[in-house]
Amino acid sequence: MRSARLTYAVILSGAAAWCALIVLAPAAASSAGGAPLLAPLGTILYAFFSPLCHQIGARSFQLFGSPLAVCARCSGVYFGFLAGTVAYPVARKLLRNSGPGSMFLILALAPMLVDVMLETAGLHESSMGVRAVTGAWCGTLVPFLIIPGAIEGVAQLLSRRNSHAVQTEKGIIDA
Amino acid sequence: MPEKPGKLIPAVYGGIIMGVISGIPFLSIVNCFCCAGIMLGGFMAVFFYKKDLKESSPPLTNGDGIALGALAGLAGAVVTVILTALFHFVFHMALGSGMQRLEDMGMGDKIPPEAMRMIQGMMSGGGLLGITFVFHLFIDPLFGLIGGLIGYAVFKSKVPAVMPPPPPPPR
Repeated sequence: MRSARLTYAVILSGAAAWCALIVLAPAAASSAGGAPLLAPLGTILYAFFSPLCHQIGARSFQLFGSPLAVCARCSGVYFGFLAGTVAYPVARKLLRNSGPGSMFLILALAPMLVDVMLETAGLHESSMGVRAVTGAWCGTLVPFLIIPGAIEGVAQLLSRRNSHAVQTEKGIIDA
Repeated sequence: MPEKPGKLIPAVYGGIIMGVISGIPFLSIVNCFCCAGIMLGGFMAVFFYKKDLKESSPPLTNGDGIALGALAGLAGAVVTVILTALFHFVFHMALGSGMQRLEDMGMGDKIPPEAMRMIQGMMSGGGLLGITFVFHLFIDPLFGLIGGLIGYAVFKSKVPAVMPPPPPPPR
């Protein structure tokens, strides 16, 4: 139970820190005039997220007059992931180890993929709201797919390590 | 009891997929969707491992998914930095598109020129390769691990994996 709580806490704090960095980039860039030390931080954060997102200003939410570090769809995915992680222990028990299967992944991805494909084909023009909502739908469901696996996987790895340590200790005593 | 197959080779295959997607310009656009290319590498590492599993082998576990995804991420970081260096030094392709993108976003006037110059200095040539390696050493195992867990959820056997018994207490 302790390792389950710890694994969940690591995932939750990682997701929260990631979302905080997304918001911190425009905050640091906007306050750069008043606090010059923050300017490199804003630049570093935008550069950090640049390989992970196209960062097109017109497709990004604005905060303090500057775009977030990632686009609306990616913001939806990451903030949805945080919301899903927060909701996870309310909706499921941490120790319930049977996670959903591949159909759940398709259910999570389908609205976003349909939106992207229709837009690419020129059949529909997506808006920032649609991009954010389809991203958030995916992001909110993904924790339900990976948190059970992460909790069970960490428990298995710890159990293997403990078993190896006991065997090594036993070998030393026998020798 | 038959042993499980080695994880290194499937992880390296996954890492190569990850590195090729991340390290080749234009192809790296796949990563613009929440590191999809990196997650695909972790996912594929689980796929290759599952192919190596024999019927008599112990079933695929979550722990395998985590380990394969993280290992593929480490391999992917190495492949990415090799390909990035190749494209930079051999084909003279410009790196540091992130800085150009800041200008495109209209952030150029918000960031003081001295801060921009300082970071541009850091992000040129060898400095940028170092930063690329450190960045991928952090990001690739993280997202590879998520890809590995998704891979486990997709490729797990219908019969639930049996948890190994707890170790006997030390005497």
